[in-house]
Amino acid sequence: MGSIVVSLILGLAAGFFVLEIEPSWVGGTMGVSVLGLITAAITAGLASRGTVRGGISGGLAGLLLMPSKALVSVLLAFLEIGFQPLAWATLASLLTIIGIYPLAFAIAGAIIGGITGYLVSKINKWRTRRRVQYYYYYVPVIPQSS
Amino acid sequence: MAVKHLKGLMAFAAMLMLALSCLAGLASAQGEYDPSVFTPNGVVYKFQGSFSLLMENTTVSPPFQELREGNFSLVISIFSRDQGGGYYAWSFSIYLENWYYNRPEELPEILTTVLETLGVQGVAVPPLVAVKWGTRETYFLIDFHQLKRTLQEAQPIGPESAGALASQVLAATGEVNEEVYFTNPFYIPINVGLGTELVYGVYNKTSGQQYEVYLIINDEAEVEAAGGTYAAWVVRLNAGDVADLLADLGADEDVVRAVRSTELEIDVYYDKASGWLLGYESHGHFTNTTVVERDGQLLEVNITSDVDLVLRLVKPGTVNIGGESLVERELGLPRETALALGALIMALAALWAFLRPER
Repeated sequence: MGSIVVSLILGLAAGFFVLEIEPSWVGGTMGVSVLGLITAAITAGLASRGTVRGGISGGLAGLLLMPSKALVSVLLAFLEIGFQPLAWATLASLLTIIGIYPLAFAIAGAIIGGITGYLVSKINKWRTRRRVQYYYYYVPVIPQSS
Repeated sequence: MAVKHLKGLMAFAAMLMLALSCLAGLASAQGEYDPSVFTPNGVVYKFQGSFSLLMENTTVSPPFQELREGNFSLVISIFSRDQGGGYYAWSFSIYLENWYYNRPEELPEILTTVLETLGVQGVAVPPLVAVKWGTRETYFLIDFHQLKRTLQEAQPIGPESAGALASQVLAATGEVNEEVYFTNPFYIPINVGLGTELVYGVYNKTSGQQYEVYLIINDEAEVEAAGGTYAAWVVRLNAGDVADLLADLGADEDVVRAVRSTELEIDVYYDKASGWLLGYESHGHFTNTTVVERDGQLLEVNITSDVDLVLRLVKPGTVNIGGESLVERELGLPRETALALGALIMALAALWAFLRPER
């Protein structure tokens, strides 16, 4: 659970900053959205180190990426303009966190995060095997005295 | 082993393609508009106005002179939320900074109450309109048929029943009414230039009725707004242009003639990078004669009037004014930094993945 939360936070942070890049660098606003999602999902998958954990954290990162971006922007805007009698406006703006293609982002994030988590776990297993082989190859076996 | 890796890469590429196709919906109609204009949050405008109306006749004894003058300053904030179905509802808050009228006793009581309410606490208007993503089409979140029934049933008598009426009116809001829409004046496409015609109109899809005017971008300028200077497209109109527009819309001939006889200048400024409305300025001056009653006698007097209205962007909020995002403006960092920060966090995640001991 803790691993998923950390992965999610790292994924959202990485995706958030990538969503801020100049759209013309990646062929427009759609490119930015896709790159942000891929970055968030890969980061979450990397940190999770497992197929299932990567899928869950990548999916959540995909689901929450755009809403959290919108929420941070709204909060920044509030800080910028200061408190005003905005009861309805506040409610309205906070409701921005729903919607914006959530399912598509969640599915894509889960797939990318799951694959990344799977690859990381495979690489880690391979590295562990290699360390074990290295250990057995170089460390001399001390014969036990009978 | 190589075949296994190839399979993995192919699977990864396939998944990326799937992710891209899932997101394909986002691509629709984004080329023409800056996407931030559909979901403004924390956008603040200041709307200031002043007027003077002088009626005088210096040829009589004692000379007749009556001056009415006033001014106001309103702060308008815009927020938005996702309404679903590709619509984004906009809500406004209005705060009256100050107002002045040299003959307050002439104002209706209800207007004074409204002005005092605005000045004391401001008014937050719930979302009553919704913008369709990728277009300037703006729909009402009001069921007009239900509203009509509500207004027919309600019989407002005094200010105390205004609250109850407002509640009833709000009960008729909430769903996008796709019957009627108008073109949003707060933004224009970004692929425009000098000579481009901008359409402003109201359309009824059911009856097919429409009222629309075309305004031409006829200048460009550097405009100071929201603490910066931005390159802007300018739509400039004079009294003749406004009179022609009114005539096209079928206005009364006397009205058209009256407008044509005034001195009127209207400038509308749109940010070149985002298409967002940076400001609006109008200056009007007119002179005329009329007849007033003094001590039971009719007296011909000259009227001289000046009206100034200025709407200026104070805070751009989440709209990418000048091509800069809110985070970019707030942090003061170039966009390259955002990419570097994203890469840094990803590198941290990789370190976390590969250096953390296995459990």
